[in-house]
Amino acid sequence: MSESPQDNKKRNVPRRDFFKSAAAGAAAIAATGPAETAEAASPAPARPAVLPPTVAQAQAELGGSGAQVGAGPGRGFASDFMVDVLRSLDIDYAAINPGSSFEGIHESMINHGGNTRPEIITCLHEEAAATMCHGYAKASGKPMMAMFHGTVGLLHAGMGIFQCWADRVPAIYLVAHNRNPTSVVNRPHSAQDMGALVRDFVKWDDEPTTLERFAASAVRGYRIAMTPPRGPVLLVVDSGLQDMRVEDPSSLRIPELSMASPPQGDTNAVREAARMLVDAERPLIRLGKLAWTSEGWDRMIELAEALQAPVDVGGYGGWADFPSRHPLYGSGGPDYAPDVILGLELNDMTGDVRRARANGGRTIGVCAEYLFQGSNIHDFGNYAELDLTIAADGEATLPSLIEEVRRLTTPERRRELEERGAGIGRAHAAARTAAVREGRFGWNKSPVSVPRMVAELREQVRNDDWAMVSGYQFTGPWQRRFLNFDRRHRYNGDSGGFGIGYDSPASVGAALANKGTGRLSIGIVGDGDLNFSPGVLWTAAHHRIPLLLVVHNNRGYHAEVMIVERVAGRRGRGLDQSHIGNVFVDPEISYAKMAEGYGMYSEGPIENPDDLGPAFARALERVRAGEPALVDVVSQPR
Amino acid sequence: MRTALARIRGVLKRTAIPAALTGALVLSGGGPAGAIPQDAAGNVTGNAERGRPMFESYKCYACHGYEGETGSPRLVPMTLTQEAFIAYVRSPRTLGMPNYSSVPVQTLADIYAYIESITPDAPPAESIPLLNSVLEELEED
Repeated sequence: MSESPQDNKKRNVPRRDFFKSAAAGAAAIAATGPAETAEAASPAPARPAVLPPTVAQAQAELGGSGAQVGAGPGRGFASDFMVDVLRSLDIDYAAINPGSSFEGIHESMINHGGNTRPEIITCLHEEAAATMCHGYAKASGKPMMAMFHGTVGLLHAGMGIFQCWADRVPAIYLVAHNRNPTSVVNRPHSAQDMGALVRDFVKWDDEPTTLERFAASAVRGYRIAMTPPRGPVLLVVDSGLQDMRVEDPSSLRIPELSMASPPQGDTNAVREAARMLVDAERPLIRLGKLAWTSEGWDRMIELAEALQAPVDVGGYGGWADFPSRHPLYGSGGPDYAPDVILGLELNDMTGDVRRARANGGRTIGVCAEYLFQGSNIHDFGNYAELDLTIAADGEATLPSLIEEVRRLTTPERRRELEERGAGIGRAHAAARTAAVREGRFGWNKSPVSVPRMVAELREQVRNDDWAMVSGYQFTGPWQRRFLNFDRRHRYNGDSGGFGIGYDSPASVGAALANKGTGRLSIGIVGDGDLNFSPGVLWTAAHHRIPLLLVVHNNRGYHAEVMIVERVAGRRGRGLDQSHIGNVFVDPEISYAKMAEGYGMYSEGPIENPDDLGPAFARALERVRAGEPALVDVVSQPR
Repeated sequence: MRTALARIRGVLKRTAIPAALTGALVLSGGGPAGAIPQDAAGNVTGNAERGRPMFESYKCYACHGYEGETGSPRLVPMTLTQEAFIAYVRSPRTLGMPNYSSVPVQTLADIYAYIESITPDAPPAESIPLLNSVLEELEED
């Protein structure tokens, strides 16, 4: 993970040198000359059954701008400049499923940019491309980009974009279309307002109409994406604009990127929050999507220790930014009834308000989302009646909050707090030990129990610098019980939008970010999840992205089994029918064979728990050597 | 150990309560919901053999594991009395638990008997090297 996105505040950007690699591009084109010559000299091929279209016919059908016709190799294509703009933003990768509307940029990335920074990552579905960006950004601390074909590609990508937005993660998405469609083919791939298709779940979108505006919009978009509350942005690019020749390169300039400082809490409000917390007898800190950087992780430990308050990292929606073995990790013990609850980057504290008020307590919310209103999806439903609401970035507010807490803590109060903290630590330690012991139940069962699966995995990676790059929604608490999440990069968060299909492509995206860092990327993904974008296995194999994917193969959507069962129970009928539509056993799916088919090393399906450790060991050997591997574990539902 | 896939096939493919078992319920006096008063739930004698397919048909496995000991909450070893068990599943107090008030008391007693018949597969944590090593780490912390 990049340690601080603020390092990007002032980046030296290449300016008028965007055509400097044109010579390399021309050389590459020249290199193709002999082959073309040889082809031209070869005997005339047999007349094909269907004649290829003429240039005019192709233009009429595909709607190209015509700018490329007869242009030949040389300097000054607009899309070359676009690639230089993207390079100025330090974007390392561009995930794509190809589309004719962005063929100009695609070609420029290859022949002008040399397929580096950004390097093209070939995806087999746009949702996977969008979701790879999501996982990558959380692991690296900076955005990745994906490009989509007009309308059709963007709609495929929609789910991935939505989850990225819901998780408040930055990404640079680019969609291309023909603003003046000319045929029945490209009209459906174009739109009068392309951004409208996903505007409900991007932070900002724009369709620049000139190259200068493209540069400004890209730089502006990067800043918007990275300013809390972070989120994906969308650039819409006309295919004709990409193909334009640039007559006067010196007239083009890439603006300097100036990052916005994140919003900090108002001084008086922070002072009041600190006073409430220091005075509280049983404060509780609850976390949402708090620490974008490892500095934020460290500050969070400082705050908890300054207050000697328990830290509840919350459910699947959060990033769990606190060490899982810290004495203050937990909710204080079974009898801990908080009188002040501090929510850091929690966007819904309705339950906290209810809980605190039941004890006569109060609530404080610090969240950047208070600065972001108006979305179709965001501002409705539960309203939390907080006692103190601070519209600010939680991580950016931590230093001043810690300082205030320390200032208000007298030596006598400090002794009291430490005594409280020691009691909390003892309660947490007892609960932690009891929770580990729970793992013994069903230890030798087949299908394999989830705790057995996680314990076998832990044993194999305990000496690695591992990073869990999938969410933990479907493996419950076992990862946190057995593995020591002692650093920020150990966990990469969950989907954000509670939508299935995130884990597999996000794991590949995060593993791409971790590639070359020495971190061992591990994703535990559901079989249901993998079936949404299995093609991402090929992407991982093709790009040699080291990643261990463990498939929690329970052959169904078991949460949904229970949901249908609940409805049937309420209605008093059909309680034995709720598997219908929720399980997939006839025929059974072999994920090991699926991976093999995509060219990835695989093990399984593993049914006997005693086979699991050796299978993990063999797969990890491949991963440590730099390639992905998959282990298919036939598992208990939960 | 039965093979895993055979086990899953048997459970996940079960489409309905076997007719033979439905007949058995009638013969044993199970009858429709409410036929046996709630306060008599503790006096009904369950049959584990009949209870097993019912445990599977009513999808108990989805949350509690195929044999009641790998999910959450764990059912094995059963800590409730039969009466308390039947009362709870007919009027659950948690959001996640389905309501089985339409299921005959006799059937619920059979399911209870099946759960009680399961011998936990739970060696002491200290005897399992993988768990013991986690416990040792926690001790060091």
